Amino acid sequence: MKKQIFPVLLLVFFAVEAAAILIFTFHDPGGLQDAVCVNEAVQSVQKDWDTIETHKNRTDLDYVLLDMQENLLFKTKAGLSESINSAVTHMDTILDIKKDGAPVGKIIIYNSSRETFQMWKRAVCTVLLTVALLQCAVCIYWHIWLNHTIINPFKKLKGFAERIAGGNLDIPLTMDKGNLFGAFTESFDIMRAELKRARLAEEKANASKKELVAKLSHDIKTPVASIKAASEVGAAFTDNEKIRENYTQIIAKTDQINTLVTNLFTATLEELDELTITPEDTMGSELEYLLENADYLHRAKIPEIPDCLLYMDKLRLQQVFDNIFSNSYKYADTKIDISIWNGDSFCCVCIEDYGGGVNKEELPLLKEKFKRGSNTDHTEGAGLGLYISDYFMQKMHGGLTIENGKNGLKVTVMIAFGGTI
Amino acid sequence: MENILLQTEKLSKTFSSGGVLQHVLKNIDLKLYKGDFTVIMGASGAGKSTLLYALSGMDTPSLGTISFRNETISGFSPDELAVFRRKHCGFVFQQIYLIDGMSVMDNVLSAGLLVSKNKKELVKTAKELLSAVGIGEEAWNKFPTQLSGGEAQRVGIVRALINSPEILFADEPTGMLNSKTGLDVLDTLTDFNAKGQSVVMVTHDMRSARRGNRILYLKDGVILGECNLGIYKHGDRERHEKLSAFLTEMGW
Repeated sequence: MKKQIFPVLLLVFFAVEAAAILIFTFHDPGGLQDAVCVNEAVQSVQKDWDTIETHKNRTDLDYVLLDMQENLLFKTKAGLSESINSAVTHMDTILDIKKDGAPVGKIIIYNSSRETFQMWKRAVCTVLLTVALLQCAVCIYWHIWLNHTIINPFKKLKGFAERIAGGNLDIPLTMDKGNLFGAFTESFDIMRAELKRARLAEEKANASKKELVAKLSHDIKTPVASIKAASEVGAAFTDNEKIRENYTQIIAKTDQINTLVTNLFTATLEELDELTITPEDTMGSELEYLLENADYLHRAKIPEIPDCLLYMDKLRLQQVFDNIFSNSYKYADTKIDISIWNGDSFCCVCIEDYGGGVNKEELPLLKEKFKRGSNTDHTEGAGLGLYISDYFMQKMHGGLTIENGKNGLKVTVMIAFGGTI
Repeated sequence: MENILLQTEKLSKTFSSGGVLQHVLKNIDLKLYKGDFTVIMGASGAGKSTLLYALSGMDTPSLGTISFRNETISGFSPDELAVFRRKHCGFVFQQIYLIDGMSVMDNVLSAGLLVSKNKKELVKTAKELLSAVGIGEEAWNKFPTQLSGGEAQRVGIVRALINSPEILFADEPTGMLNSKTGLDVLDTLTDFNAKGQSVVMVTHDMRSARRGNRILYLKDGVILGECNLGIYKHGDRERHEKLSAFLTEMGW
């Protein structure tokens, strides 16, 4: 309905203007003197001539009375012609006033046709001007409406298309569903949302794959090391040359697998940044569960956990503890002490074994990529576990310190308090 | 420090709704001192009232400890907490909660009789306190509905103080009052504090906050900052500017 109202209104206004112009052109506004009125005025003047001072106008006409010497005797209002000359110029009606058949004076009856015409002209102009103004208002409003419903949505669509082309799928296309392009733009936005969803899903799948490869690469080494160790034992104890040869071949293949896995892990590690770490405020009591999970050989006694909120990603912190405990199992293979306390800025979890620790000079290097202590030569490992753990802790606004304790290697995991980030 | 009345360590309060945990207070370490007028400010939802209720033993914390004069109250049973509140705490709420069917005097005495059986002494204290807050004798037998909002809140303050609590907790005490009556109530609290009464008040009104000598700003369950304003003096322009600057810094 709103779409048709503007042209309909404009047509109506055009019709009114045309009608006003036609009426103005062809209509006669009148202006002829009314003979009956004129006669009545003359008669009344003639009747009152002797007492002209008390004469009263009994008609709708305006007039002036002069004597034969053109002296003013009477006038109905100011601004009328008061001499014969000015009456002729003004095209007024001039008649004689007779008394007993002889002219005694003149009556000049005012010609109002010009005034009538002026009034008529003013009325038509007012109508035309009003309609023109209304037309302008309708045009302005129509322009605004067109801008709002067509031009601006088009501009928005243009910007939206540019953003989509540039790969920015985050900004939705908000449009009033009621406008001309409502359904159209909604479809566009659905398309954007679908594209975004697909892209996120793809990114997530890729990240998961990389994460899985990184984790598997690291974890695969342990069983491969066991196979190698078992094969070495088998080769040492067998008398059968053929079987020994088979064992040797297995050992060579495990070395090959180790190399390949290290290469695979290195490639994946470059994209460590893409691992998602989403820390959040978590009850401190969760630590107990994480530590119990990590210490699957039950080498440690878990102390009382301080009552506080901690800022952590449970999954990643579990991986950190898993790594520290598996390192201890591999390299020290002793009982483990755990102590937990609240520091100024962190909740500290200290895990210490009885393996004697590492050389002091090597301590700063342990958190670096592919660096291992010199006393770990006979144990399989990639030198990446502590590097990843340190990375995870930093991302959780915490930290990881490694030092030689009283009895062995002491790793302290510092977890940020909840509410401080 | 012997001056410490209340102390919290890693105080946290977590609510669970539909399996989703909402941590309203997070690891709050706080000390409240005797004689202080402590004001807790913050936006709606910052955890102000939750903190007040935890501090006063009206609610129990999810994590952390609260100590009152070196005695840990966070492990108290509900009954023990009720006794603790009666003996040591006074409460003034935004909703005044006077009992409509009891006179002003009876409302005040009802709280006193929970702790003391010496009615004569209680009546004497009540009269002194009521007079001190400007509630004249003619109003003592009136019912709460016959009082103005400001008068009712002042009676509420007297009821909170009848047992001479060591700490008075006020949760938006002027929230329901108009400007004039609100000022009367603030003057009452300021006067009692000047006489040594420790007050902890929650507010999000700057005019009320100016009365405190210590302002704590709470945001997202954490004390973001605090400001010490010193003893309240009426018309202290510098105090107002200091508070404004502090609140601006806190993102008020």
